[in-house]
Amino acid sequence: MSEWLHEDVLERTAAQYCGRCGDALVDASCAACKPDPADTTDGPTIKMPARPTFGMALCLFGILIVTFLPYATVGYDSTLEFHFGVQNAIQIMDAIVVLGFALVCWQATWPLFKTVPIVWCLSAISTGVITVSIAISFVAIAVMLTGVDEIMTIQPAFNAGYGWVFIFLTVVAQPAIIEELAFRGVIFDGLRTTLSDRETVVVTALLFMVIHMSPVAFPHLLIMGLLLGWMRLKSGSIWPCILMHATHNALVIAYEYRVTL
Amino acid sequence: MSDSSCPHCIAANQLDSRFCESCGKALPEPVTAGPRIVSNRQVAASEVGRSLQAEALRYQMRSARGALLALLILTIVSGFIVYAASDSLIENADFWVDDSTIPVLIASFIVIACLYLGLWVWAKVSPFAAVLSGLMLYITLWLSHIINDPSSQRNLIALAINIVVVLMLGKIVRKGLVYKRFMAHTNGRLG
Repeated sequence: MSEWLHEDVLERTAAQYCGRCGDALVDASCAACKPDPADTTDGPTIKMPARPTFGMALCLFGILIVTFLPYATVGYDSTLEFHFGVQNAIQIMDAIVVLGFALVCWQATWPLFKTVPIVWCLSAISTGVITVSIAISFVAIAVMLTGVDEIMTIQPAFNAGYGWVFIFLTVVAQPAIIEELAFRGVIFDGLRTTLSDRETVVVTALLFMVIHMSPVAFPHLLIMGLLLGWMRLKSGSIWPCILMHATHNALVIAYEYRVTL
Repeated sequence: MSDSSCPHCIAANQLDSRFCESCGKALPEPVTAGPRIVSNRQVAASEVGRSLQAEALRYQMRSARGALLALLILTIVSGFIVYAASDSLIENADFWVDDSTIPVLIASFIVIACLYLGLWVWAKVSPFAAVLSGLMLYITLWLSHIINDPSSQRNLIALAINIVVVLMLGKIVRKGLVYKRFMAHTNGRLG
């Protein structure tokens, strides 16, 4: 009889508490540990990454290296049409690739375009002036030590029939927006998943430096990359970086115009 | 029997339940035979776990610093070879050359050697980041060299050295990545 009573008592009653967390059940489901809705969908689902991953960062850098390599095929003996044809193709390809990566991780990329206080904008412009001064100094030292010719941008573009709008778009706007979106956007966030903030700033600066593939220019590119990374880290926005990069490139053009024309 | 009884209200519960579904009180942990299973976080927090982490970090640092030192020596030696063979290099070059080619090459080797030296010093603090940067730097410069002078890859010794260096750095980066992921997971940064 005691065994029969034991079985009767052991008969399971309707659950009133959650077996996982002990909270009282509401409508036969636990509000504290409800299942992930994604687990209840039928069939396979493709989940886009919410933010860039470490692999995506290295993948984007690899693709950018491959697209930048044709720059090395353009030498002093190539025609202006070939030179600008290669340059324009590379810039269009880079823009498509970088925007593609940014769109895939739009949930992490979109917040980077948040507005920042005017102090950041002024700091970005000032830093751009400093970096262009450093760049001009380093290039002058390199020219003095090695006898290398400075790379001209304005005169070849004018000789090829292009105007100031083309020079602004290809030298100031596209590099500032696309390179910053790539290095201080996708690659920065991707590396940050594995590296610390400081390591991310340094590695991103080194990648930015090396992709220009001009060892003589590495010193000032590294300094510029470190400042851009620091600005991205502290402001949480990509606008100061775009502004600083655009200021730097615009002042380089202005310096070349002042010196040569 | 797939149910267990609650010691407080004697109601039946499933074996994997942690709280009683009738009274809401905590159920005792089922006693299992054999070694106790602990989580990654418990291992990492223990003395054994901490010494394992220190050992892995020391190995990572030594191999990263060794690889970067090898790159630095390789760059210096290559620079000396280019300087010593500069005349024949200009005569036999398949690419466009002028009076500034050799000085620019020497200056490039000096800059790259300084970079590897900086990475070697940095590897003492951040070995994974330093060797990752070194790998990316080496691959980019190698690809750039191939595009500028494809005939340089006909030298099988140089090609073999390049491949060995990339494989060695890649192996160190892969091991470092596994260790980083383990540490991040153990510290609760990953889900």
